[in-house]
Amino acid sequence: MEHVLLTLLPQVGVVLLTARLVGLAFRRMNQPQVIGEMAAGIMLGPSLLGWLAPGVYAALFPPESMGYLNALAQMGLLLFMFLVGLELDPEMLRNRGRAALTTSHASITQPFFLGSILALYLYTRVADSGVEFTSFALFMGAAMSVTAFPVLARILSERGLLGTKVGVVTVTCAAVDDVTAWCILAVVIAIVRSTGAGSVLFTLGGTVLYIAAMIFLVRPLARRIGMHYETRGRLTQDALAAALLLLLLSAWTTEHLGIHALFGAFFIGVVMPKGRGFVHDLTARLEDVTVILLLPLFFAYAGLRTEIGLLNTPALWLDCLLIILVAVVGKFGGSTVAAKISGLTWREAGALGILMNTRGLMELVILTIGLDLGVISPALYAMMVIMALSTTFMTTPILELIYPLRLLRRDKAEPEGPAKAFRVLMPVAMPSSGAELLRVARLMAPPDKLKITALHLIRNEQVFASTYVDVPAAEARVLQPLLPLADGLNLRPIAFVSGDLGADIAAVAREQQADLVLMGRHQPVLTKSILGGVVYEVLREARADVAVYVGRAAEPGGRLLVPYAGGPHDRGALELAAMLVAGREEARVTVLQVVEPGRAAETTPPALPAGANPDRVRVLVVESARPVEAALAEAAADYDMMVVGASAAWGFEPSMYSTRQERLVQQAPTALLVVHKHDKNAA
Amino acid sequence: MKGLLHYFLLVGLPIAGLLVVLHLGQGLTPPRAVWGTWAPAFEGAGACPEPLPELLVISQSGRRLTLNVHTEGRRRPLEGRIVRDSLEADYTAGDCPGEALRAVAGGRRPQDRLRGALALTACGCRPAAFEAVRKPERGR
Repeated sequence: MEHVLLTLLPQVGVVLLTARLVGLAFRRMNQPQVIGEMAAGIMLGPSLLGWLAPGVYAALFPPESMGYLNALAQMGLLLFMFLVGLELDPEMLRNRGRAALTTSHASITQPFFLGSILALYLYTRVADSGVEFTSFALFMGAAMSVTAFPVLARILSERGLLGTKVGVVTVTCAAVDDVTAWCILAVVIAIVRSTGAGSVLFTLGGTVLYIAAMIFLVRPLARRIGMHYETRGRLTQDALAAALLLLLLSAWTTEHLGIHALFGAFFIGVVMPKGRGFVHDLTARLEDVTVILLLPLFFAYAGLRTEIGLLNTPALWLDCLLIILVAVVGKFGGSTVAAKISGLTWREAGALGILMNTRGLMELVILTIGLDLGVISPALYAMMVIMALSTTFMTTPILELIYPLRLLRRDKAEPEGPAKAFRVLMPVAMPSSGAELLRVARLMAPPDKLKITALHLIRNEQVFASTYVDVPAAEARVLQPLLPLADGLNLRPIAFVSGDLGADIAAVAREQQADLVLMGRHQPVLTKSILGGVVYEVLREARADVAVYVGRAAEPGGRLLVPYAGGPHDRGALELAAMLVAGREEARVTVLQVVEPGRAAETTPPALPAGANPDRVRVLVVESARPVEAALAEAAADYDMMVVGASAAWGFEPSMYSTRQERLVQQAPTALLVVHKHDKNAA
Repeated sequence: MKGLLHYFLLVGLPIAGLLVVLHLGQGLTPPRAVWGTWAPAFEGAGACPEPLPELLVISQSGRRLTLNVHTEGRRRPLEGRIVRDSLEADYTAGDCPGEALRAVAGGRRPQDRLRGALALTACGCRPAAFEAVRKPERGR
């Protein structure tokens, strides 16, 4: 055992590291991280590492260790399929209308049919002689018609498509496809494994009994786990253990019946209770270990068996291209045509088609089963793995071509509000910070001239199920509490999954032509500056003014101090301060001009912003060689908020990684609003 | 009515087509599957003094084969192909290019037995007869 660990631990370490690094690289390319992790598995196999450094490969993955690696990988797959099933709500399949019904069925039958035609050609060329044509053709059909539901759901979430017609129909179709593909696969496995009429009867009868037991016995039992969760308000370890035991029992049963353990893991996930909190908590408990540790081991194990070197003639590469072509035509083409005929526009239908063409990890799972069963040969396995990677990789760029984010946001946008409305984009991380920002934002203009978008971004650290499930839940938790506070305001909540918070906030600001991005103070990991990290990205990319609010009181009061040195950001601060007091009779602005000692007489007061009421603005000139101290001293007098430009004069130097925290932020006795004016002339 | 027609065209026809394909494919024969690792047992040394191979590792791409003969840690490659039930492979390097291995795959499906003859090295050696059994794939 000691010897096993000496081999296994470095294996797991190398797999984990490679998967993370390659996954992150793919994320940089705007690709789902999971594709990178799949590619990492292939890189560690004979196709790359074994080819470049056979000695290292042999030392790292000795044949005798493969059993242990495979066992860990299979456990990862069982948990993954459980999560996929858990995410799949059978209610999604009901009452989705004619478009979804025809499209979902057509998106299975058309690639299935084309896959079976392809089987006629491939069977005599690259099939394994251990398999009958019927099994081979059905397997090829199932492999062609599968859709990577988790990857697809995540792409939909990231692009904010979940609530749209395209999103709803796509999710429904993908759910139907997954269930159907797994059922067909179960049939294929049963046929391949059968040793005679007796075993067929055993599998068939056992499967019927199994499904009945799952529906009539296990589902009520699982519901009890859900009720236990509801009464406790959290997922106890006992409830988690019970869920895992059900998973193991179900997987063991289907394996014993001859239709593969993964089917049982998937099915128990489907029959689990679908309460949002329960699903979310259960997923959260299992997802990290599954996704970060165990699934990369599966990718590695699959990669170790992928021998791209087997495609050693131009003819075989042409066969591979043909497989990719048939896969794309069947799934992308078939789904698109069906969706168009069912009433979607060409653009929507195309988006649906390319999303359905995403095969990803689900394809890899099916292919591995096929290889294990001997339904496909190693050469065909390599071709199909290339097809799975290609079809998944092409999804994001082609989707961007067919349905660019720009058009999507335009299509989703509400009709224009009142003319010249002041548009504020308010990124919200927590309910409490959202309420604080809203109180400031509502002072900026009269309700009929103010348009606020509350944006909640969910960090894209989770790859699978919960990213889909989380969006509505997170939106409800973080943004819904703002709605009662937005009495009479034009407030629009948006939530989506983001891989890059700064870039996405800036993108939404640009798309919505925001006048101001109002952000709360955040604590970046690598910087102490209030204008570092995400804020820095936003103020560089948003093409809008950016203000960061540091609240120190429940309500922003009406006595405002604006330290003024004359730069563009100070002018922006003055404009914003004038807006904040415009609607309040009692509110006043004091403009503090700090000048070098002896130069007060030469100082001219700043020009007031257009529309500002001169009666509400007082200019105070102070001589000091240290403007920050002067501002702090004045703020200590009797002010509620300091509105200050993000200029060097006040100690602000926007930078991605500044390790210095600004003194005004540290020491200001009032609330602070730091304003960065967008330079409209900048490129 | 229009909806039903669309459903028939988009869903019903492909299912009917699938049934036709399944029928058409019944007469097809795939290449013999000989890929994997084989443990040969030799019936004689073929009059050659050199050591006998312990393993034959075969990579298969359809009907094309790459075969590696493992002998005391050394590996010698052969290229070959499948012709019906037979396997034919030649050494890709060495002084005596030419026929090197002839075998017939048999046993239950997938084939788990190879019976044939392997020329151990050069021209002077008579091919050694062998029977090999397939070793389980690693990790399975």
